[in-house]
Amino acid sequence: MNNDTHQRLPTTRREFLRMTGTGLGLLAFSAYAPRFLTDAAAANVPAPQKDKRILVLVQLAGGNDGLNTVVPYADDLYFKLRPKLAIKDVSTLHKLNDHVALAPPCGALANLAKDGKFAVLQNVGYPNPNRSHFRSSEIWETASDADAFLSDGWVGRYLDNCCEGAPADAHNQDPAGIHSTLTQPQTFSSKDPQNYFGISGNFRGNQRQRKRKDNATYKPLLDEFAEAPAGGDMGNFLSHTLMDALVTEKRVQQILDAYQTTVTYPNGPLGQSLKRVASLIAAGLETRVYFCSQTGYDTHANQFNNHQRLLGDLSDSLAAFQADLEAHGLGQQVLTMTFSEFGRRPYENDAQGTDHGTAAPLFVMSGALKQGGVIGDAPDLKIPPKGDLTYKIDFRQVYATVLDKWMETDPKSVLGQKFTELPFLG
Amino acid sequence: MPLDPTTFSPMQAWSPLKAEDWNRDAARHLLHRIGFSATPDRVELTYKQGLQKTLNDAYGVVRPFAPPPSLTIYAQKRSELMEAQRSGAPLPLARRAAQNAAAGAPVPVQRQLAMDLNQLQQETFHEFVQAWLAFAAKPENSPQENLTMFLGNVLVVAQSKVKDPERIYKHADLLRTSFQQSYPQMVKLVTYSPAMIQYLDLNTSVVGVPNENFAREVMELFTLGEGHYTENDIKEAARALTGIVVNNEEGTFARRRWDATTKVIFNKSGRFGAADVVDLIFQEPAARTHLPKRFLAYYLSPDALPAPYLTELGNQWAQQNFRVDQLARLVFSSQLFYRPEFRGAMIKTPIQYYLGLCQDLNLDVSPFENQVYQNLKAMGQEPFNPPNVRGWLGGKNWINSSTFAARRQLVQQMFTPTNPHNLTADLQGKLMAAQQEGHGAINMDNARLQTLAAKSDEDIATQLLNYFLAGSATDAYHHDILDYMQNDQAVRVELVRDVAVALFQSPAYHLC
Repeated sequence: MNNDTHQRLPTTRREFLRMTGTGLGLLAFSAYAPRFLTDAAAANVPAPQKDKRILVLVQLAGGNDGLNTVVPYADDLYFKLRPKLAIKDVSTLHKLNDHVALAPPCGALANLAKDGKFAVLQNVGYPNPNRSHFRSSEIWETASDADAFLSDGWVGRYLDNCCEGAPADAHNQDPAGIHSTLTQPQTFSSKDPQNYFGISGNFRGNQRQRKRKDNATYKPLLDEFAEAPAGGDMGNFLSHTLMDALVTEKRVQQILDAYQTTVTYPNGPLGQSLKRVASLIAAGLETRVYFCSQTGYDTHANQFNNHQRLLGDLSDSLAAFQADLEAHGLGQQVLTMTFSEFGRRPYENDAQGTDHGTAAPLFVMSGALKQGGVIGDAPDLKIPPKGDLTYKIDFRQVYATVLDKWMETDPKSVLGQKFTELPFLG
Repeated sequence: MPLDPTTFSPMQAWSPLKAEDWNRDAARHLLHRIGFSATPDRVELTYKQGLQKTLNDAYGVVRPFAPPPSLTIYAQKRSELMEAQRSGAPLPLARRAAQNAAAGAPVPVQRQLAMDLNQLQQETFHEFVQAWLAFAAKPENSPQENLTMFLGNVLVVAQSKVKDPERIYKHADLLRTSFQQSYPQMVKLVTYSPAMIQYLDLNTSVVGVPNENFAREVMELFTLGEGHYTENDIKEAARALTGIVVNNEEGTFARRRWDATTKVIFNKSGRFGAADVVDLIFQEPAARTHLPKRFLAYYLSPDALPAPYLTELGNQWAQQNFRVDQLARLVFSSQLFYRPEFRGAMIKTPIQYYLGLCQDLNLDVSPFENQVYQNLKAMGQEPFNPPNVRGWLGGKNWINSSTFAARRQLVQQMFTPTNPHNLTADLQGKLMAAQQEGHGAINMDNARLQTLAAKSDEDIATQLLNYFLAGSATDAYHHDILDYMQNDQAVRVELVRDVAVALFQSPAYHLC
């Protein structure tokens, strides 16, 4: 296939402008050109240098067992609730204070905590907890009350708000959010169409594997179709979206292929996703929110080894990510935060596992944390038989803190109500 | 010219299309909206037989969708499991127990049963979805199944909560078999649908502790819309709706659980029960326009019509005793429906995109039910599993970079010949079974493209565009295809394949 044709679709804004200046004709183009072109041209100004602070969300899908993650080793009740599942050898734990310690495989995170770059927020949950994976994820991702249904996600709402009247994002060719999950996370759902991009699927494997798998000789023609007017509001919208996707796809692929790092990431999906995220951040993408996911936390049976393995992968992946960012001088620019739809029951079940519960610890990591270590008390384990943990921090307090102190937006405009903020950011 | 009630009266808007305005383009528009595609042969047939005959074919009879065998087997196994759970008898199904025992980690019987049932439900559900897609892909069934999908996006239940595939099937079948009845009647039936009882927690709603979930959604989402009822109406209706339970897989009324005292709903008082709530609702003016509004958003345009048009449609529908099929006939016969601004202006749903591709390419629905399900999931529409009680929002919400990539991947998949040697034994078996039944055409192989490849470039471009794109903006596409076909270094049939793949991925093909 003719290679020149394939190169026709530009991968950068500059290239696009140069190209449109030499033949395509900007005016003829403007009805269906991608956002970044029309808006930048209309404003006739270079894209503003934006605040570069970036949020990386890491979903622990399935409901992470908080008690075997941040272990309340000083509380005898922990060992009573979990005759089989408790981590009995206290010397293998990484103590964070006189009450709680990180699980044995989380040594790397414990080191970050010592440096003040990692914090545990204790007992995070919400009132009237729901125990359905689906529904509770929805509550976390939309930041709704337990009895309310919102269709947009909290990050989507943030982007809708901050980009109203299009001052910030419209000049931007880069996606507003990038996710490594197969489908777009509900966290990103928005009322206005936002430019999101997924880096799973098409971006699996190395260059050679990709070539073999995706024998996409037709792509130059698709580029042409994307540029052709499709007609009407919906047609233009489709052309925009496809063109944004094709441009981003090429750009992202080039960045991923060219990325060099001295840090070794774990080989699991989370480690590899975070490596991709690091490469995109290091390349200076203007994307402000990234979303990754680690699955497998729904540990109803035979939990112990599986769960500890997941935690090891999580700890090593997060630590590698932070080290990589620091190696690129970006350690203070990125805030990483975990979340899970719920914790698990404090008492173990009869299958050496734990069932769906309520509150659980949540992690934040950044070189810019104001306070590392443990925020909040150890969970109160004085509960009736078959009882559950009580949340102390509403997860929306965490979101409010991040929105206010990190994304510099009014949290109430996103969350609809006011929440007391937490001290991990200054 | 924008729609304006002063120049194009609501009365005129909903009056029947003039005979002289019925042409092939109108037929194509109709087919694209009532079903999933408009292949040239169907366009020709539809044009010749006329609008009324087409609507009679679409909505004149109920075409039964028999439960696939896997559902019957499932129901059988479900009762065996339940029985074993009660009696502690040897397990009929214990795959994971055996695996776990082999791995030296025994799992208690009760838990094992729950896990097995869970796995069985998931497998059966995917098989059911596959069977339904195959049924809906038959062009004569498509309008009915599209209507069933529309109704299922109003009277929402979701597999993620209901889990039991037989309940999901029965719920959809209830909508399918009652679309010739009045909508109030359909809502009454849905109140006793086990899937709905479970989905909106009617089974936990008892005298003294009514659950408002169903009462709220019935008013907000099923019949009236926000702003047309008070919180008190909901509280009172919730009491009237107590006492409904699932017994032996049937929705039944348990009088002892019902709140028999007086309720005040819409300023009327009485010892109301479930059916009374529905009757009271349909005396409210908002009930006349709510379903028509949802109908138009699904079938006509994502942008709401000016209010006078909606009011008029609602009144005409009320005169038809709120029959759902009559609503469809009113809209699809109307002058308004055929106005040019509504043509080629909607984004296909993922299911429509997939089934439309099958119909356009004359391919069978893939027998690999997990793959099909994953494809649809990646495109943003798991059949019978909407994200929440509001259903799918539709329109632009279908499209983002991930769902677009998934649509593109689906096309690539359909154009990549399956090599049976690369399949697992299980998939090979499924493919062979499908082939034996004559449903094994799942990819566009070269043989299917040869005829087209033998034609001239000009003919190829014209034929592809006329055949597959309903929109008008095809001049640029035509030019692009001719350009592309100039490449004389590539094998011709491969060029045709490229053109087709790019065309099915192009913005225009996502419109209907």
